[in-house]
Amino acid sequence: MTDPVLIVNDLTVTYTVGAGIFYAVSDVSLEIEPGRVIGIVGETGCGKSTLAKAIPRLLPEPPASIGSGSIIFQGTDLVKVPRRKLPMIRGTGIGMVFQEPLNSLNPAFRVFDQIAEAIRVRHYREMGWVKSFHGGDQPFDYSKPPVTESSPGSLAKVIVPSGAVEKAAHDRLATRSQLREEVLSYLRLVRINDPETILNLYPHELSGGMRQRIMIAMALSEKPALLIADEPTSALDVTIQAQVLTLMKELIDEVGAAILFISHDLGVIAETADEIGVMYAGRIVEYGPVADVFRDPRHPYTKALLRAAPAHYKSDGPLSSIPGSVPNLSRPPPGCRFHPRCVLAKDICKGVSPPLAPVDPADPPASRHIHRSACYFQAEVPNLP
Amino acid sequence: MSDSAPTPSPVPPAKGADSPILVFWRVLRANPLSLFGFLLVALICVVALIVAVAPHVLVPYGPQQETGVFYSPPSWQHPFGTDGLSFDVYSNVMLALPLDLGLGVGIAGASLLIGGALGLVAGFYDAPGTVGAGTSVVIMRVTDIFLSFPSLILALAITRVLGIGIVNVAIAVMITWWPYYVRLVRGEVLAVKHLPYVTAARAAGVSENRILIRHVLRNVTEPLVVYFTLDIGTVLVTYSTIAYIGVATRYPGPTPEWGAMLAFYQGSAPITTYPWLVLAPGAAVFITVIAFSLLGDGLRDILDPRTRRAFVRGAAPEPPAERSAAELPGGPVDAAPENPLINPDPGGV
Amino acid sequence: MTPSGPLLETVDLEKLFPLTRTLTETFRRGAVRAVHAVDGVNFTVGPGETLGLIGESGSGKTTLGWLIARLHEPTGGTIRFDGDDVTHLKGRALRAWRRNVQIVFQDPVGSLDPRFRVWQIVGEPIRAQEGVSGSALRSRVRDLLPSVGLPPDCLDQYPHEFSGGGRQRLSMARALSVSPRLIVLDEPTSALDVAVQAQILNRLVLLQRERGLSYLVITHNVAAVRFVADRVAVMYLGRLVEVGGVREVLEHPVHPYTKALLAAVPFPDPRRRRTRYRIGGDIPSLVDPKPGCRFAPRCPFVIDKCRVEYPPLTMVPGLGSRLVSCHRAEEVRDIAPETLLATGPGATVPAASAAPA
Repeated sequence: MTDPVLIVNDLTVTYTVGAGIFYAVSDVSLEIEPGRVIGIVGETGCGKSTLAKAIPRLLPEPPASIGSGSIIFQGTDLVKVPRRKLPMIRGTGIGMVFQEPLNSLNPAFRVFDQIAEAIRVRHYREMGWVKSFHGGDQPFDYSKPPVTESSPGSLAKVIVPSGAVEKAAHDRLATRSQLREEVLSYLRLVRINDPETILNLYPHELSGGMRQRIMIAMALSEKPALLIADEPTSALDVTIQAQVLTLMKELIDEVGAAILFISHDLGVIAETADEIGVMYAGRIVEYGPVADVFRDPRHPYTKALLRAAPAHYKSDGPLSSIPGSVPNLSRPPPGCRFHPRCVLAKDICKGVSPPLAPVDPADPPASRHIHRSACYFQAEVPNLP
Repeated sequence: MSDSAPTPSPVPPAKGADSPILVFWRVLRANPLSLFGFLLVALICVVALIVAVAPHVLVPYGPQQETGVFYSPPSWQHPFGTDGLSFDVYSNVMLALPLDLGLGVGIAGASLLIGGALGLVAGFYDAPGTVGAGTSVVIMRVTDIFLSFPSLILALAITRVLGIGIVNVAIAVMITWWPYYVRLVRGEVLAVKHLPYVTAARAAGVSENRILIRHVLRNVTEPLVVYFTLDIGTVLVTYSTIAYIGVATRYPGPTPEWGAMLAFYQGSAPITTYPWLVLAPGAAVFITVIAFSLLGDGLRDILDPRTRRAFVRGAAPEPPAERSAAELPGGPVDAAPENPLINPDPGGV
Repeated sequence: MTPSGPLLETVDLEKLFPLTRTLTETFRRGAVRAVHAVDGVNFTVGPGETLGLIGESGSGKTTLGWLIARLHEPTGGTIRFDGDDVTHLKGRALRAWRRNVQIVFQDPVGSLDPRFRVWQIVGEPIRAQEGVSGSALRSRVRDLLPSVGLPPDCLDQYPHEFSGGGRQRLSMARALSVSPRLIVLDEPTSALDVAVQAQILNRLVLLQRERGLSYLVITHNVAAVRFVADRVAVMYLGRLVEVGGVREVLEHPVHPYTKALLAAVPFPDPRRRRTRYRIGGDIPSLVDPKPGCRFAPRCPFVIDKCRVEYPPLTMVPGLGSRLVSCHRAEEVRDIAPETLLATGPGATVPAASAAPA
């Protein structure tokens, strides 16, 4: 197993608002290897979008703040990186695909310009014109597993060879026609049949599915090591969503990036993820290989969520739902945050919050890829209706 | 039944709701400049009231009262000094305060009422094929005509017609001012009238007029209030500029006014030798305008529900992009006609 | 009034939105282009019945819902409510009729005026229809709130103090306040989390049983429709392509679009992952659609006839009251949605006698 691209340790993110502190994310830990898809699933308000934006430190830091924990991306702790160096990791290091591409694409620029901009940024970094995370003129090569820079605490320095100015002038940025070819190749990568026509259009002239493909093309054109997809298909129609998910799965196989896939839709997660983490009220309450978690959920919330999932609707009798509502995270319940709504809750649940413990006692507790649940009574969950 | 049980309910407890005044205070406290602006405006208003009602409390001398001291620099007896006619500058500045403040608020207010009413009508009753549509067109074209003139020059021209005098200049400024409000209000109405809650009111059977007054008007007032507060300063400067030219009131005279004072002192004495003469009225205008500007900024934060949310205890801050598709801007996806340019030949798998 | 007839009936209902003409078009004096949002729709809803309307964006289903609630005026066809023609009601008559049909909107945030308190929002229809106001209105609202699962003491709160599910309940309370006969629900679940969706759907069914309401549920959530509807109509590009009992249609879809739609729904079980979804193409625009079947450009079973002649909604022999708009309905009827997954547009499908892969 190659080194993980991303290791998150006990991350806590809070928002400081005029009326108090809001605990959006508490003690979340993850590990993602290249080529793996980790799905994070949860309802509105569970903190998954905060998590998605906290990792590349895209949250506005005055109201939000990373309370504790570390985010180690290819060996460097992003929490310790000063803000002015952050743009170096975004894009070529970490790419993001958001929910509603109409908001993420600049409405004033045509498709060609937007993808070309992403490619140009990558070229600048590869040529060393701009300090980059990968260290100068070594573009990221997907055919090889990444070599983690082992210089913790500092970004790789750009080593500019002598004669750099001449070299840069010689390698002067691709002409427009060369850029065009590269843009077209990325558009074909996302299976757009007629890319030449698309190049000159503005985002509002495209359908939702097309826009999302373009977002994916933009994200991939920077050749990121990690792709964070935050509800990428939630705004799309069912048939278009199915097309885009098929596309993403094929790209995962071809491109080999690590993907953090965030969604509230269990069906979508079941389709795409290798491992799944279930978030509730800012914490991961269950984690494990997707088949294990779906077949044998070991947290009452996961089980209730699966039971309430739409495809299991039967036509007779009322639908099962979860009584109560999501807690207010400025005053989270003590101990296990699910205990006010949990049928298995006992006094111990109000005390110390249960840590993620392996479901199978034989598994090594330190491994982050086995099936784990944060419930003191996880053994009783299979007996729930 | 697995429906929502009585406890915990889907609704937060009513006792947690904060009073608007408390929220107002918290926002001000978090934003020191706005607090300063608010206090300053309050101070200015109180002083103006006192000067208007009981001038002897704060104003030692009359406007044209000779003190016997000529060109005296600021001192304890004459905080802003005296001028070439031995009038006390401080007294004149203070006596001009209620007038200028009243003019600023009054002119802006009248423009707001007239222009706002026209804007409401023009924005709301413009369904094609009705009488309202024709009225809207007329209102907007007249507004456009007025807007095509530079306001200062138009005001001067109107003053020429009406004659010199405080009230005439006020009327002139007001005539050039209302069109901005028409445009502003109409724009807001257009933004609001397609919102789902307006349609919902229509679906409930509410009459159009009532929709305008109950729903549209109340949701349009916020940006209006902010604009109005900021506008007071602008109106004041415009009025003072016209007064500076000399067409409002004579200075020295029984009714001092800051613009007229500025004009007179700037012409009558070397500024470098006697700087306090122009600094005093100039600073008065400046401070008043700044105070209202800061207040307006603060009001914007208070009235915007998104920023206000952060100050209400118990309400979650707006989570980043955690909205589902239905809550995205643009409303229901196929309720409105589509853009004909959308969807070229579908590129697909 | 026909007590035994359908509560709601539409005949060739049509709604066109003319597009503003570009300058060249005006000069050329061509026909005005229009968006054919609803293009000849016929259906009925009986008393106490729930009709589900499924489709994707661009199908015109929201416009159809608004037409039924008379928030748009049809440009063609008729709407009959309880036997009366309400197609062109206006003014006071229209406002008075509105108490019969209420609508719950898609956007729970935008459809509640943020300046109004709960009792004003929920009581607005009562006030408009019956003239009740003040404390009488408050007590009417207070009595109404428990039936949607809200505590009666939240009268003075503002909508933003509620969660998404709470706001949806407020919308429902407002719709119920004047005791309508039919409620149009436009995407009642799409802004909600799964657990809250279940609560709201349960509540809808309960209210229907208690009050004998009819529902027109517009949604793209196929599973919700399965739970809450008696019959379902599938809409594509302004027309209905399949109508029938909900269980029958969802378990044995006949029309290729219905098959494509059902095959696209991801199942929350990793063991049932699709291999790939290749029913290609984007949803075409509603502007001046071409003749022939609207689904022809994307249909895996298309033949030449499909591009030329529009297939009318007809019954399929052997399937009871099912209506399908497809020339090849009988041939393709037994092909399961899953088999579509490997094919693409234009792929030949074996004749009905050969077993699909």
